[in-house]
Amino acid sequence: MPTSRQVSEHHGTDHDGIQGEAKGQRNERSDTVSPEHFVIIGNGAAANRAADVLRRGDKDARITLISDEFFHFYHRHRLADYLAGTAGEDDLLVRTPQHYQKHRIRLRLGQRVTRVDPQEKVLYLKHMEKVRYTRLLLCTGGKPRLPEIYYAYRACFTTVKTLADARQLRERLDGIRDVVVVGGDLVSVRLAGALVRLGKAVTFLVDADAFWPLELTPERRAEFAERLTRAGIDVRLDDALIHVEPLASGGYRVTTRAGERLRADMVGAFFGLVPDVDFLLGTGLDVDRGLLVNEYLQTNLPDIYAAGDCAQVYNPALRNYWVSIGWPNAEKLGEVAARNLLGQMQPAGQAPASALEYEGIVVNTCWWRRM
Amino acid sequence: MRRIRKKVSKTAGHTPKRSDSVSTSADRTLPEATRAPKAGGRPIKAKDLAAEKDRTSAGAGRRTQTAGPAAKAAAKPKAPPKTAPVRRSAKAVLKEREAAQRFQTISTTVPIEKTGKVKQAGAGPKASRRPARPEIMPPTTSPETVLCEADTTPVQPLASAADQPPNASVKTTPPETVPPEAPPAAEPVVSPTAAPPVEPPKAGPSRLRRRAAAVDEAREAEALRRPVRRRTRRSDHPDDFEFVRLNVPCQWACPVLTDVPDYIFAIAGGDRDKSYLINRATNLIPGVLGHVCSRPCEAACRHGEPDLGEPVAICHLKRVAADFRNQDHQWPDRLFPDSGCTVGVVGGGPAGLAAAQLLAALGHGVTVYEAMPRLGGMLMYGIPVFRLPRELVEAEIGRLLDSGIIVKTGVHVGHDITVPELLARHQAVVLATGTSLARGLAIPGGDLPGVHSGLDFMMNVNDGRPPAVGRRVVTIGGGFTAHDCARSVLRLGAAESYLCVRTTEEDLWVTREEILETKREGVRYLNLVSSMQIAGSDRVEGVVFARNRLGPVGKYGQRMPVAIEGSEFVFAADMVIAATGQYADTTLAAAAFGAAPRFDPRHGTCEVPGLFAAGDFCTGAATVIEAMGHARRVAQAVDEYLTGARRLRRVVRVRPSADTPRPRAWDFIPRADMPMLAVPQRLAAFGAVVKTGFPAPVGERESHRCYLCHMKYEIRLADCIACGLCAAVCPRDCIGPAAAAGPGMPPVWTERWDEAAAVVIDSVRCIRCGLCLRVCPTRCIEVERVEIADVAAGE
Repeated sequence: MPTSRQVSEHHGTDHDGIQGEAKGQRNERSDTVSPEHFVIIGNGAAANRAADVLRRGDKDARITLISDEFFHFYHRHRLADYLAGTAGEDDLLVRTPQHYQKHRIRLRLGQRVTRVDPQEKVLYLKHMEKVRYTRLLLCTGGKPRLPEIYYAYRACFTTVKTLADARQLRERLDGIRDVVVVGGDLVSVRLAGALVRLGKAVTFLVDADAFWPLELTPERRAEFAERLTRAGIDVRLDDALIHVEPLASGGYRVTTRAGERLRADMVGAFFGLVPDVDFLLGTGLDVDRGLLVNEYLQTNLPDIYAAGDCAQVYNPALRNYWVSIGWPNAEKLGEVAARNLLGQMQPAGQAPASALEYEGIVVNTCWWRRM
Repeated sequence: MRRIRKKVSKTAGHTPKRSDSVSTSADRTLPEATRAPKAGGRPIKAKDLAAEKDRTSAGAGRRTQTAGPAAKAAAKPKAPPKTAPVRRSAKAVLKEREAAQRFQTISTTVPIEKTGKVKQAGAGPKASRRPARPEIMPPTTSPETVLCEADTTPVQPLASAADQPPNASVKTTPPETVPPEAPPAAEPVVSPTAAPPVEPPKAGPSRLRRRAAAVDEAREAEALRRPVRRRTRRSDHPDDFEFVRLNVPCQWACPVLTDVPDYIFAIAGGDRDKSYLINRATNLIPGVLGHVCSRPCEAACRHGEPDLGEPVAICHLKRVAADFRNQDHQWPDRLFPDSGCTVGVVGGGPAGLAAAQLLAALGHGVTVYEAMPRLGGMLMYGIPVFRLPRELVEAEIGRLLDSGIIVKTGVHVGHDITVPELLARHQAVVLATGTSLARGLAIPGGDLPGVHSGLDFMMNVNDGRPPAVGRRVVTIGGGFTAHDCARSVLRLGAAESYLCVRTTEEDLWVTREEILETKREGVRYLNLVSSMQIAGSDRVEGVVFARNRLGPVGKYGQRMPVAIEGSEFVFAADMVIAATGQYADTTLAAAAFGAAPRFDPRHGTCEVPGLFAAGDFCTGAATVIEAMGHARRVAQAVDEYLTGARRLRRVVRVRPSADTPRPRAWDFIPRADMPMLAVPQRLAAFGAVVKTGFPAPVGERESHRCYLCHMKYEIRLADCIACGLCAAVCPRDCIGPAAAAGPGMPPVWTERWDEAAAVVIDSVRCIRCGLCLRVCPTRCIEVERVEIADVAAGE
């Protein structure tokens, strides 16, 4: 039932972010409290590093982390172990909830930001709450990327990006015997290995064009194929997925470029990540593939910064924008953003020499080395 | 007034037969005065005449009870004839009437006052309501059971100036009821708004008759209280247009005001021909537009609102109607008689043809002058074949010409004939030559071999004379032409195709589907780059780009690119296509009048009388449907200039409607994807049309998704008993109690049912699921269809 309000008009109720906080936290509002309210959207590596640096730099400011996931900060790269059963949910946690209480960082989980109003400096959450900020940091990370050529088959693919996805997949695991993996990013490799350890039959279609974010040069390709084969994965070199269709008896039929027809209970699609910034379209923030920021990680709107996978940083030395992939890069950018929020203007720095060019932008990633 | 089932036959059957009467049944039809006098010698009184008249009258709807006392006497079965009229006290009569009405078991919370009248029901829930109808009629589910509007009564405005805020269905004044005309008797007439009391009836044949009569009267009263709404109305009130803007955004967004919900409704009902004709009435070439329209309606579609899913595939449905119609349809004859005026339209593209068709329908003689060998403009020469097959363009334009348009192709106005000569020949001239000149790259090296203009490139390709394409082709620009070029070069043998955009993909005004298909075919986007120079000595070797950042907001709301200092880099390429915009060739008019006439984009007029401009030529580069919309507006201005009168007017048409046939489950059908050719097949043959079209069953399923937003669900307050069932079943939280905020102001939602003045449906949130109507126990929710239509001004 609509609450007391004008017909066809929408005013969220303004609680100023006090309700819904983690249990046991209360913010005593005193006259000497710092007026700063840093709001960080996201709960990943960049967001948490930024929150820590902000708290170290400003003891009195209010810091709020808003995440749409229901889980505490976890190691995303251990999801494959979680699937394999060698790690439980508690093993995934990076921090305990007590950490946030101790540092008076307000953590709001399971809350989705639907709209940002930069003029009023207000965030609207999905349950119609308004949260006011003085300075905003966007660390929304990425969402699974699907190349346009596979858009028609999006209903057949399984992606694993979050713990929720991994949980869902774990429940399905008993009924899965054959797996076809397409794409080629870090998660795909780890996941394929985990599935093999669980006794599933994994076929990996290795296609140079589908690797993300790097070009698969011939020597990398050979090395990659050899590593996968040693792990027990059936590797199809230079083969790609042409067609997928669900079967009436369950599962999917995959047709490859080489003409093979494979039957699979699950088709894993791992084409990397694209920045998760759709909800920011129309707010006035510059969005290309990610949030466009300058070398100080400032967006075009005052008091809004971005860090992590969602940011597209302009680097004068490169004369190009670059995005960063991977945990260490996210932590670095989170730290830089926090320092800039505190007033120390520090540039994000150059991309290291191992940065790659992909689709016209430079991608800084360290995953290949960690494979 | 609705006729009530008559009781005359019964009373006629019970007419007392006096034993000494010689009147027979044959005599009964004669007026009393001409009959043989009765044997009893009783004088014939006026009351007997009246009684006789009442008995035999065929439908005054009077009951013997309320007729004169003589008739009452006649109705009494065994009463002996009296010489004096039966005189009963008013109190006795009233008591009897009350008793007769008491048989209807109605609960009421308001005691009935002595006069037998109940206070006129206000709008509060505590006030008594009329009795609930015992039967609940199931809603009809067939689309054919819509009541037709065959009404030719004069129009009345839907909303008068003083009342009725646009979004609400609140009546600020209770509906006026017309009490039935008082019978000639002196007794007080029961007010039609009386609520019958509660006690059960007593036995007795006369009481039975009176009771039955009371039921009929109450039903008649109920019918009278219901306002007479079931007919078509037309309105030109601005509040009604505002209603359509907010509630039927698809029609409002269409530049030609295509009746989108109506044509989707027709497809859902299986009548694709009707759907085609609804389209053709406004957008003239539905098959062509079903392939290439930029579909502003889909961006506005209410099914695409954040919580409701994806917009309906409106454009693809238009194509379904065109692909699967059962027969070809002639254009109707002219709407207006021959005016004796002729109009020359320069340019046979979408704008020129739209203007020509409307002017021909209005009765003018139209001649279209086209420079190219075939009509169609950009449809024939600009858009590539793999987006729009040529046979379709020829077929639909050919059909369009049947409306009596003369065509002269191969005539280049400005060379073969000048504009002043045309103005001498015709009473009015419309220039609709589009944007035929390409804006080239004004950068160093822009004239090197290997640099092509996008427009010329596409025209040569479509003409069958494609130039040689390089291996690595860079297309500069982000509009439709640029996308066409980038996709065409891949079909002509290029290995790599890049599309270089100065801003980001969000700012591109091509459809999202177009971007997806372009990427799917392998074209790669370079965003945020501005071309500074073409590198190369004797032919193109590369492009020097600068990186951009987004700067201030431009005049169309998009961000302006600003080059970042020191960010230049070289991008290798062996062919460059510059599709950076097109502009109109104003020289053809400038040469004749000294300076190029300045055309007012609102109606295409200029300082030269009789000279008009329509479409892209007047407004600058736009889309096909926008050009057609502009051309129709200009054509009406031309007509007004020629005839001195505005012969078409735009109205909001409201038609009575049955409930929606859609079950709630249809709201969750996912949007169907357009089947496409696989990429290798697309690139193998240039003419392979990429979008193969919805099959008919898929189209029908997609048409089920449309909410039919043109339906307006409104609560009839007089009958609403504020039971709250509609609010309980509403999935969108759009029904609820509302309190009056003040005169002329929209109502305000309230949480308290006891302070509510009305129950209101917020039609902007309503998705026309019909659940409220189906649960309403008093059937007080009614449905009407609201659309914008162009009608003849006299109607």
